[in-house]
Amino acid sequence: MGKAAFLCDAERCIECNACVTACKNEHEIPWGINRRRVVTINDGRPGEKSISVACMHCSDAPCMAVCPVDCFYKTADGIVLHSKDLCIGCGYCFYACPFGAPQYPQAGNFGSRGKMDKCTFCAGGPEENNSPAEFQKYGRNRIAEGKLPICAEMCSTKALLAGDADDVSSIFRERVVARGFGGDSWGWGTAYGNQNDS
Amino acid sequence: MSPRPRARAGSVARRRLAPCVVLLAGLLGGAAAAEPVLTGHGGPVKGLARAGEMILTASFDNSVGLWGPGGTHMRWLEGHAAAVNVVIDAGRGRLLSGGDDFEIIAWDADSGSALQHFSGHRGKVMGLALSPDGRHFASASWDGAVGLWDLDTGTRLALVQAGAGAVNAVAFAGPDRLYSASADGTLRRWELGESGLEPGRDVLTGGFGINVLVPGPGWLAYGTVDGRIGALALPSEEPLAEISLERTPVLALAANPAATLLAAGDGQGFITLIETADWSLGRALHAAERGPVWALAFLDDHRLVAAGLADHAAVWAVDGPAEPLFTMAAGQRFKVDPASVGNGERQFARKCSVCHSLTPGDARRAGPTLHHIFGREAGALPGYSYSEALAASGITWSPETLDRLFDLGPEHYTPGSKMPMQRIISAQDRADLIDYLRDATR
Repeated sequence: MGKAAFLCDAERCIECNACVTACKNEHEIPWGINRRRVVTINDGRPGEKSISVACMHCSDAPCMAVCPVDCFYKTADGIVLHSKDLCIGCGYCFYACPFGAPQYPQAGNFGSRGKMDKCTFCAGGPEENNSPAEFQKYGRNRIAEGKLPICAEMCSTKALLAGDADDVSSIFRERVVARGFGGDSWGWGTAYGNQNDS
Repeated sequence: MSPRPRARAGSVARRRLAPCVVLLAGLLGGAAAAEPVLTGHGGPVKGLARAGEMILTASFDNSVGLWGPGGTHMRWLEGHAAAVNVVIDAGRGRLLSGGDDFEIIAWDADSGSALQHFSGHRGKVMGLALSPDGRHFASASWDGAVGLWDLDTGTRLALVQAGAGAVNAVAFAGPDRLYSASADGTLRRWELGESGLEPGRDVLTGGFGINVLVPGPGWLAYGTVDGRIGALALPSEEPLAEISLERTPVLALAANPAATLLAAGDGQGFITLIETADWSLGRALHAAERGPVWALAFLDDHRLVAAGLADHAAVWAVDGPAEPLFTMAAGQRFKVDPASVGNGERQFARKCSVCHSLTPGDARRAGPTLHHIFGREAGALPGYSYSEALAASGITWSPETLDRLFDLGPEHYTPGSKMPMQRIISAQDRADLIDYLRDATR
């Protein structure tokens, strides 16, 4: 994979929340944490649109820049991951993330000081691939199994696309040309700028 | 990221300007006076403000610092049980601070004593604003609520849920109008009435999160998490300007006293100046070689104080040299070369040293020093403000109890203490850390 990327086609998202459910089920995400969520704009009004949002694994990730303990790292595929052993739950990354991706469990001594949790692009974490420790902290590592993120795999309308940025943007371009409208891929520019590569 | 024409222009300007300044200083027969550096905090500085001649700093090390105009340290304000995010001048010799402990504290600036605790939020307090008449203040919290408090009587006038998103900032625009900005992109107007806070109008909705607000004469400026700075005309709330920094996110925004200049700090470590007369971009300083600019405050119309991931804050004269304020190494004391140290020392550096020192003094870290930890009763070190839960735990620190602490995690072994969730799963890593501490804490 060149640069891992998500793209949500708002013209296709039907707000079914299958991506949210699939993510929670695949990674056994605890109560109170949603690595992915569906946001609806203009709900119930003309122009209503829904978008599936999670960590976009930005090319120039702001979370990495602001972390006071430098717990983030980027894989060769451009996937932004973090070490829960190093995270101190300070919340700085939540403040910096355009997509509201970082989540914090409320089980800590201070409600706000649990270890940060976020979408891993189904790529696990720094522990050994597919080890029990990796699954417990970060969820399943589908990338190591040669698979793509479960949220996009489960999307019934293929609104949510995940994979190589070039492939994903190429599919989206074809769609826009074919249908003749709806060319705005929300968040793409903010996450990846004008580059397809990290 | 997309191209950064302003950033490039700034760095070119720096290269050209620096020799000119040295030459000019040489012609005048002396070096340019160095701007103050505020050194002493034990963690990143997240909030900055000016109170008369004083500079105020709010830090991850749980304390508020008071500094003289030349950067001389005057006093520490201790009372928060977690990181302090914001501090403001509340007038009449009073200061207000808000933190990760969900508390707001009013302080007497002269004595340093806490005058009043304002409790009620159930999330981090991220923003504070004083009403124009100085009687009330508003608070913004990640519990999604906006608070309105009476500063003189210490009473809570309102604590209203602003929506689903965390509230990052509040700003008054007149005696009876308040704005709140949320992580879900909502900019909401509130009316102050007999019953406290009444929701007015959602001026902005559905966009990227808004981190910061700055009110000015006839305008309200805001900075967003996707790198935009916007300005609305007041009271009409019509858009005046929108500027994209092309550097995300905007984390800090401050106006000079004359309100002619805005300074924006971003996640890429730049400070960008904006002329409010025509909302045009001015100089950009790459202030932090690594990490963000978290906080900004103008000291006068031409000088501002900035903070990032480093333990210090630094002053920049906005028409002076464009030299970095924070080096690549600033705020990186926990980084060690794994090849040059043992596993135990590496465990300590990466997982403990952000909040704990090993020397007799606590170095103003968020947690107490670990010097002579073995044999010490938990919560017994004089001078550190422990939680009641830890002080009453009955634990004496030993290799066995430290091992239990990190095997179970503080939330289970010392529930109710200040220590964040931290487990070390590997028994070997725990043993190596304890072996290292045995020597290093003697």
